[in-house]
Amino acid sequence: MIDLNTIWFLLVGVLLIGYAVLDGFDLGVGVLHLFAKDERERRTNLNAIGPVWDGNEVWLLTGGGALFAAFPVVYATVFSAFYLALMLLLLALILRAVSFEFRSKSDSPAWRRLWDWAFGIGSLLPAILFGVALGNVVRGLPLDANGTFLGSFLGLLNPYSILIGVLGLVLFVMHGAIYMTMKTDGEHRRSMLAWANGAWITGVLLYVVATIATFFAAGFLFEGVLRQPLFWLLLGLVFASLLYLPLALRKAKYLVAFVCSSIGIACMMGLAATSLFPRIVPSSIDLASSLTIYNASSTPRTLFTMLVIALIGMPIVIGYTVAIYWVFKGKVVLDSNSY
Amino acid sequence: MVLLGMFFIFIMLVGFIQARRQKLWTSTGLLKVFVCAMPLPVIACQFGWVSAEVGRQPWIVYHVMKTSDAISQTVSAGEILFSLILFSVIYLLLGSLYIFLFAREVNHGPEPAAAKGAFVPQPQPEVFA
Repeated sequence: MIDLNTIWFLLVGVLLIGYAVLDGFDLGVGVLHLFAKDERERRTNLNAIGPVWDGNEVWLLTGGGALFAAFPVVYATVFSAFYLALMLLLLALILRAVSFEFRSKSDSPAWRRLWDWAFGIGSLLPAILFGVALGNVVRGLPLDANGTFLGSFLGLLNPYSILIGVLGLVLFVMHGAIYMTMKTDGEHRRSMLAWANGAWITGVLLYVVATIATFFAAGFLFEGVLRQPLFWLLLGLVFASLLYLPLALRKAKYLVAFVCSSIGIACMMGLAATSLFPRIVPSSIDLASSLTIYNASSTPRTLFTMLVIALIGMPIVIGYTVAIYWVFKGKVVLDSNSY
Repeated sequence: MVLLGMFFIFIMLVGFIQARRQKLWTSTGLLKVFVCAMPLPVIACQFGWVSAEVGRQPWIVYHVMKTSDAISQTVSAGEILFSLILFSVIYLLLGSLYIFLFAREVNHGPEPAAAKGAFVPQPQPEVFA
C-alpha cells in the first residue's frame, strides 16, 4: 500500500512542515521586530534567532529541491505559476538575510532603522506569502488537461488564499512571540506574552473561519477524508495543542507552549496534506486534470535513489539542528560579538 | 576559469614558501599581487558559469533537449525581464554597499584584539535574566 510515491509525498510534506515550524518562529520574530520598543529589544530579537534562522530556511530549499526531484511536474507547474510571487519572496529573503549582517556595521540610527525595516518587511512578506501559496494549492490552480497553468498573478490573490495567508501570518507571530518568551525576561517577555495571547485568540478564530471557508472554496477536499482515522487524529491534536497553549503560557511553561504551537502548526498542515492526498495540486477547472503523486512523479528508479540519499542526509540535518539549538539554548546574552 | 585556478594555486605556493622562509610579511611585491588577486575568484566563477551556459547551446540538456523547446509556457517574457531588472538592481545595491563597507574596514586598518568591540555600545556582557 505504501509505495515510493506515497513515501515522497510524506517526505516533501515533512520538509515543508519542518520549514513552517522552524522558520515560522523566526519569521514571526521578524514581524514582531517592527514593534520593538528600543535598541536593546531589537538586538535581543536579532540575537535570539541569529544562530538558527539560516538553518531553518534550509528546510524550504530542501523542500523545493525534493519537490523538483520527486514530482518535477508539480515543481514546474507551481514554480511557473507563482513566478512573480516567488521573485518577491526571494527579494524579501535576500533583504532579510543581509540586514542581520549589515545592521551592526554602523552606529548611525538612520542606518540601523533602515535595516530594521528591511528585516521586518523581509519577514512579513514571506510569512504572508507562505499561507497564500498554500491556500492557492489547496484550493486548486486553473490547470488544463496538460497541467499547464492558465491563471494570472492577480488571480493568486483571491480572498480564500489571502485568508490563509493572514492565518499563517498570525500563527507565525504567535509562534515567534512564544519563542521569544524563552529568550527574554522582564518587560520584553511581558510584551511577548501579550503578543502571544493576542495572536492565539486571533489565530483560533481565523482557523475556524478558514475551515468553514475551505468547505465552500474547496469542498472536494473533505470527500472521503472524513472517514480516515488520521484526519481525526490530526484534528484532535490541533485542538488539544491549541487549547493547552494559553494554559502553558499562564503557568510560565514556555517550552511546553512552544511545543504546543509547533504541534498545532504541524498538524494543521498535516490536515491539509491528508485532505489533498493523493493529489498534490488539484485543478480548479476539472479535478480530473489534477496533478497527483502518480501522474506528476519521477521514475521509480529516481525516487528510490533519492530515498537512499534522503535516509543518509536526514539524520545529519536533524543532528546538526539539535546541536545548534542545544549550543544556543537559554536566554539571549548581548556582548561585543553579538549582532 | 581553469587558468585563474592555476594562478591561485601558484601564488599560494609562492606565499607558502615565503611564509616558511619567514619572509612573507616583507615581500611587498607578492603581497601586492595578493591584494590585486582578491576580485579574481568572483571573475573565475562568472567565467566558469558563462562557459558552461554558452558552450552548451543550443542544448539545455546536452543532446537531450533544445533550449528553444524548454521555454516556459506560463512565464511571459515580460515577467522574466521584470525579475532580471529587479535582481540586477538589488545586486548592484548590495554590491555597492559591500564595497563601501569593505573600503571603510580597510581604511580603518587592523585593530588590536582588545578593541574588537568598537561598534558595540556596551562593552560588558549583558544578561537578561
